Amino acid sequence: MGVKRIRSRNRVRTMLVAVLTFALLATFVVRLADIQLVRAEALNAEADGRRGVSETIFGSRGPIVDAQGTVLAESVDRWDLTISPQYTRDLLPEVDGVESTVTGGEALERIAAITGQDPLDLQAMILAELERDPDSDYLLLASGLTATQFEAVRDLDLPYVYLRLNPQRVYPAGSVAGNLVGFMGQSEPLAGIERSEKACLAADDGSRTFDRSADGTPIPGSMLTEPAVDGGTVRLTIDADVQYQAQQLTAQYTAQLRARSGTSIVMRADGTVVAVAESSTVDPNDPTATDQRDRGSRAFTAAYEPGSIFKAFSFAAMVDLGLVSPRDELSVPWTYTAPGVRVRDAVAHDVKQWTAAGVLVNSSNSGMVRLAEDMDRADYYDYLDRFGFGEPTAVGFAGEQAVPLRDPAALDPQTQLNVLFGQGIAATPIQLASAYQALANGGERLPVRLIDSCTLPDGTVTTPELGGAERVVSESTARQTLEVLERVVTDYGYETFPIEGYRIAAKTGTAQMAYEDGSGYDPSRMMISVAGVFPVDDPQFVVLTLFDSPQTIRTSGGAIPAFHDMVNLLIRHYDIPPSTTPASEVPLEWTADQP
Amino acid sequence: MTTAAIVDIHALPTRAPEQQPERERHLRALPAIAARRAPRLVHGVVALIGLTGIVVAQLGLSVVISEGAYRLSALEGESTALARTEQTLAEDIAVLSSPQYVAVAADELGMLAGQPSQFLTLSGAATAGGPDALWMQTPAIDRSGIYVPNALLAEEPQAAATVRAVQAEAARPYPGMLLPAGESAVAGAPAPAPTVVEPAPGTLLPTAVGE
Repeated sequence: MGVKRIRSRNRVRTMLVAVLTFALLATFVVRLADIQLVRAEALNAEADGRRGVSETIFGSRGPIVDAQGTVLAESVDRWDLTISPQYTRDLLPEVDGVESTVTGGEALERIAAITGQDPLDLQAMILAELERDPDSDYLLLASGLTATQFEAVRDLDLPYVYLRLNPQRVYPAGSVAGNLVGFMGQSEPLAGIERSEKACLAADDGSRTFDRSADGTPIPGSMLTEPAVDGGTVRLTIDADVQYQAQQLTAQYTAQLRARSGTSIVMRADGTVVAVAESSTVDPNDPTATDQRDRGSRAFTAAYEPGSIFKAFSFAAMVDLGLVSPRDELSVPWTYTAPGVRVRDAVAHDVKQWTAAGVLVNSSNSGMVRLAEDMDRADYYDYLDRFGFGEPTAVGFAGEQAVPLRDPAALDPQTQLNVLFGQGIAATPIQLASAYQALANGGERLPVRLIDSCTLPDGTVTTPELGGAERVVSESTARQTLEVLERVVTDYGYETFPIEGYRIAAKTGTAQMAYEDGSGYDPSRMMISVAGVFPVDDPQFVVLTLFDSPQTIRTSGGAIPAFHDMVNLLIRHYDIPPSTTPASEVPLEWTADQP
Repeated sequence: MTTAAIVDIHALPTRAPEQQPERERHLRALPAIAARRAPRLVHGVVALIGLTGIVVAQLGLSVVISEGAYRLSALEGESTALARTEQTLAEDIAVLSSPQYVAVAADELGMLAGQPSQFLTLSGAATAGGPDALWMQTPAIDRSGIYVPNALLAEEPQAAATVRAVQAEAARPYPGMLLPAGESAVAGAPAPAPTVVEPAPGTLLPTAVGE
C-alpha cells in the first residue's frame, strides 16, 4: 500500500513539474515571439533611439588636376558653427566645471576672435533669432571654419555650440584655369569642368551607426559602417604653368589695349589643350567677385564672326580642291564688284600683281573672292564641316556653343562672298583653334581634348571617347597653306611678329562685331586676333589670341605682340629648338614678262 | 499440387521461436549494485571554481574589450585630429605652391625670367639661340593689382619678406666697411630691397609698322 501511494504522489509531482515547465516554456515562447516578431520594429527603433548613433561619413568630391598633377580644385573639410540660442547661457563653475564663470558675452567674444567676426554682430544675430522664436534651437553663426578654427572653437567647450562638418571646395591656384575648372554653388556645380564632369567627381556619402555608451564611446561590436565612396580625379590636359603665364600675358595685353576681354588658346598639334587663358577670369574661390559675363569661358561659349583668320581655311579648301595653287598669278584691284555684290579690301590700293599666296598674305578680300570664283559653296561648306565648324568640339564644355553651319544653297550672293573671309559665319575661338590644329597635323583634325582621364578611387581609369581623326585636307595642302601663312609672319609688315630662327605660320584678323540685336556691324567694336601654328617644319603648337574691342590699337597689329610673346613663352617653356629647314620662299608677287 | 506442397514446406517455420534466453534472464542473478556514494566535496569545489573561472575570464575579457574600445576611440580621435592637421598643412602647401605665390615671391626677390635655352647645331660650329625677348614682361603684381588673382593668397609671401630682412641686415654698413665710390657710410639706413624694373604698361609695346 505504501509503495503505491508513493508512486501516485510521484506521478502527480512529475505531472505538476511537467505542466509548470511547459507553461513556463509557452510563456517564454509567446514572449519571445512577441518581442522578436510582433513588436520587433518598434522595439528596435526605441533601442536605437536610446543609444544608437547615426553619423554621415562625407565622401570627398574628387580633385581636378592638371597634366602634371597640380591641384586646381579639391575638397577640404570645413565646419559650420551653429548655436542653440535658447540654451545660450552663462557657464558656472559649480555646474559646468569651468574654472570661472564664462558669460555669454565672453563666449561670443572668444568665438568672434576665432572666426574674425564682430561679437556684437553675433549677439545681434542671436537676439534677432530669439525674437523670432524664443524656443529656437538652431542658428548658423559662421560657416567655412578651417581645421585650426574648428579646434579652437571646440576647445572653448561651450555646451550650446555645435560644429557641423560641411566639406567645401577650394581652388589652390585661384583663377589659374578658373574659366575651365568652373565653380560650385552651395551644393551643385555651376560651371565648367565641375559641372560637365560631375559624374566622375561626385562622391557618395556613407553612414556609420553604432551604439553609444554613456560617455559616447562606441560599444564594441555595435559599429555598422557603410563606407563613403570618394569621387574620382579628373585630370586635364592643360599645363598650369603655361596656363598661368598665358593668363598673365592675356591680362597684361588686355589692360594695355584697354580691350573688353582677351582670350588665348594654346593647343598641341594632337588636339590636346595646353591653356585657355581669358581676361577677366573668374577666381572660383570667390566667383561673385567677378562680373557675371566673365565667369565662364568665352573660348567655348562666345561665337563671333572671325574675319580674316578664316581665310586660311578658304585658301586650304581651294588648294585641296585643285582650284588654286599658291603660285597662281593674278591682278588684284582693291575692290570687287559684280551685280548686287561688292567686296573691298581693308585699305585702298593700286592693282597688285599678287600670286595666290600674296593674296592670302596681304589678306586681300577682293583677291580671295577672285580666287574662289570657281568654287562651289557646297564643296566649301563640306570643308568647313570637316574643319569642325558647326558643331561643338569633343570637349563638351558646359554651355559650349555649336553655331550650326547655314545651308550654302540658301546664302545670298553677298554672304557667299563674305564667308570666304570670315564674315556671315560665326565660330567659337576653340573651333578656330581646332581648325588650325588640322593644318598643324598634316590635314588631319583630331578631336579637341581637354579632359585627359577620370581616375576612380579604386584605380579604374577612364578616358573620354572622343572619336578618331578626320582627314580635312591632304597633307600637301596643309603644308602648302602653312608655308604661305609663314610669309604672313615675315612679310606682313610687323617687326613684332617673327621670332628669329623659328618658322612660324600665322594669320591675323580684324573682325567686325555685330550688334547684339543683329542689326548690322558695330563700328566701335572690333575683334583683333592672330592664329598660328609653329614650328612649320614640325608643327607642335597652335596658338590663337584675340582681343575684343581694343581701344589703344584697333587693328590686328595690336594682337601681334601678344601672339609673339605667347609663342615665345612656349618656346622657352618647352625648350623648342630653332627650325633647321629654310623658310618658305613661295613668291608673293609676280612681274609680267616684259615684251 | 506440387506447388502447394512447396508452399507448405516454405510455410513451415524453420526454427521454433527462441524464448529460451528470456526465460533464462529471468532466472539469472542480478549483478551486484555498486554502493551509491554521496558526491564528493571536491567535485563541487571543482565545479564552483570552474564556474568562477569562467565568470572571471568573461569579466576580464569584457574589461579588455571595452578598454580596447576606449583605446580605439581615443586613437580614432587622434587619427582624425592628425588628419585635420595634415589637411591644413596640405592646404597651406597647395596655396604656397600656386603659380601666383611663386611669381609674386620671385618678383619680390628681384628675380627675372631666365635666359632661354641655347641649342647646339649638328655642325657643331655654333649654338643656335633660343627665342628673342618678350615684348612685354611685367611683374605678377603692378600698381593695378595682381593680374591672375587668387582669393586664397591674402598675405605677402613670407619668404620674400624674410630674405629682404636678412639682406637689409647684411647690407647695414659698419665702420670701416668698403663701400662703392660715391656712397657714404654715414647713411645708416638699410639697403633698399631689390626692386623689379617695372615698365609702365604701354611702354614696351612697339608701335605697329604699316597695316
